[in-house]
Amino acid sequence: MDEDQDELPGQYNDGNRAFLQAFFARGTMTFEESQPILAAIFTAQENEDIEANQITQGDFDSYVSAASAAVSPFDLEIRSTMHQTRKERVYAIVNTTSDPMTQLATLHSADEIAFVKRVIDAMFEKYNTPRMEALCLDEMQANKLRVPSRPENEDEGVENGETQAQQAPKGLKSSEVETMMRSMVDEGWFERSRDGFYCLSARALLELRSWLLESYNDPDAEEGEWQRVKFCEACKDVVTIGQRCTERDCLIRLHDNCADAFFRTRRQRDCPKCSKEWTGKHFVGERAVTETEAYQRGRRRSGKAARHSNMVEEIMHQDEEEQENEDEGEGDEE
Amino acid sequence: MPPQTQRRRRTGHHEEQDDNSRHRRQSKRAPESDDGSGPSENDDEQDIDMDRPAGADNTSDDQLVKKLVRYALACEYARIPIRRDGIRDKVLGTHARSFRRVFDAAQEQLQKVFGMEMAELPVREKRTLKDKQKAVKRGTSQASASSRQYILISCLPKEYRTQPVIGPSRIPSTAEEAAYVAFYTIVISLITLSSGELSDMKLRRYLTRLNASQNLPMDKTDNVLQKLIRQGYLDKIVERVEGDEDAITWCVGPRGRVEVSPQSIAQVVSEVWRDPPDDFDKKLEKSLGVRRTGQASNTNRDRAEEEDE
Repeated sequence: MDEDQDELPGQYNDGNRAFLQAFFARGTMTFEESQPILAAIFTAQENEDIEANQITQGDFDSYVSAASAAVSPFDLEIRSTMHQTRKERVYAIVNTTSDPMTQLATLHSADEIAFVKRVIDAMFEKYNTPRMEALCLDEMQANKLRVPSRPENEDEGVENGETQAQQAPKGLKSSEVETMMRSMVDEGWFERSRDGFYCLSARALLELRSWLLESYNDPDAEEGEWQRVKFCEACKDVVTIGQRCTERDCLIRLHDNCADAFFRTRRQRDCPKCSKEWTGKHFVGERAVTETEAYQRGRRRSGKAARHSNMVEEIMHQDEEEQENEDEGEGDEE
Repeated sequence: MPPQTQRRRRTGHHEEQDDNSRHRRQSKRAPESDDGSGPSENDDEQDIDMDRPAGADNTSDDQLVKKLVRYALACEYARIPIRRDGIRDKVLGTHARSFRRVFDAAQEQLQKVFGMEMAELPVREKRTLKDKQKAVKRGTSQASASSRQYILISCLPKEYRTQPVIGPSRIPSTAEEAAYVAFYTIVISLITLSSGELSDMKLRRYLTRLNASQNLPMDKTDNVLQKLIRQGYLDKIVERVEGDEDAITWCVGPRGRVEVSPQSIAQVVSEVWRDPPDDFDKKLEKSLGVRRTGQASNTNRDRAEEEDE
């Protein structure tokens, strides 16, 4: 069958289709991951062996843009973001609408989805305070979320904006929590760090970006007011892992990668807003916890077992209490 | 609707395709048709949107096609068959009569953009004597029935179906998916080569030899077999035998028959044999009822083209 060339860009051919299929199967793609795929496609097209390392960024870009144009009529979009810790750009196929169809696309039960929603809530609400923007949690903390605290009223779904919470919400068993958290990592929605913290993956940030803003940020907030979802001063993407200004009330945040480039172009290493020195020692993400003295002390004491203790919860909780007391000290972030 | 008619109607593809691309461009220009990016989106609104009043007929057809494509992708993701009733409920709504037109246009888009197509699943065969008798009584013959179910299959040429391109999906995880695909391919191959059915005892014996009788990397073997039945890879037929244990027979399910073609089975067998004896190909052809020489994976394409004639 010959192609109808007049609406798909250029020579949209089987190679593009194969690329799209490969992309769909993986959900996300980086340039490096694309190399063997494109090499195989080029090999098929040109009847000679093409090696993965012959694939250039330009090849990748052109396939991504062709794929992006091709899927856009179906409310799908290819978005990209810099990974917050690894230095590579992550591309993901993102659903730009939520509808009943998308619900099917999740292989999890309503209870499981509700649990995941509670986990994300906890990341952005409970474990994300002006004092300590951890934006992550460990398995112990996830386990505490296994049962819904109170009947959810008109809760929005995680990625579907759905109405699944209508049946009486049930909790998960401890063992199910573990499986669920692991499968969220396997499916590419959460990432798990070496120290056992779960946070949103690059893909989740891409897909949920607008949902996060809607759910956790106050649209009527005043300029300069602390908001739950914050953006990198340099690249303008969401920051859940990165650095923050030494001044607690200053809202400037930077990704680690972005910070290097950012200060290279400035004469002084100081905050672009309040001009305090930028130490790079105040953190957003798990280091807000792991770099505290309490955590370090706890780890020295209990070694690996720290993972299974309540220590993280205590540190984060302690932080909450202090905040309620509203002391004005620099705090325990260092 | 009998499959016969469906095929005939497919000839209309090309005109419709032109029409459709025109609609598509129109809808791109009309930003108000963008029904999903608003912050207040929810399911109800989507439904209303589907029933957009007349006057915007072109656009609404276009919306339906889009919905069907998304529905098909979503079903495949969960390995649920695309049911015609599902299309009616979730896609067409009040436009049930446009089924054929929307289906063909969506098929076209799937082929053109994604290199995939919806393939109709075969009807579950009447295997037991009882079922067959029942069918005779009702006067329905197997040939005329339509399963009213489809799955998505790739229609890319063989050269593109190499491991780096169509490697296992990362859902639920790359390793698990790979193991799962490998497992059902082997089981389906075994069943097919045993002339389409395998007694429970024989299957268990094979599984024991594969060291898969109790556990598989992802789960207990019995759970995996259950999942395979649920997803239509396998059929398990239980016949009551009076005064004895039930007779259990394993067959290939509808999805299994479409997804794991005789050609793929032939490839698996050749791979296992490595160094095949002389009359190997001939024997294999006979067992599988296929010609092995041609381009194996092009069959879907070929079939589609035949239908267009």
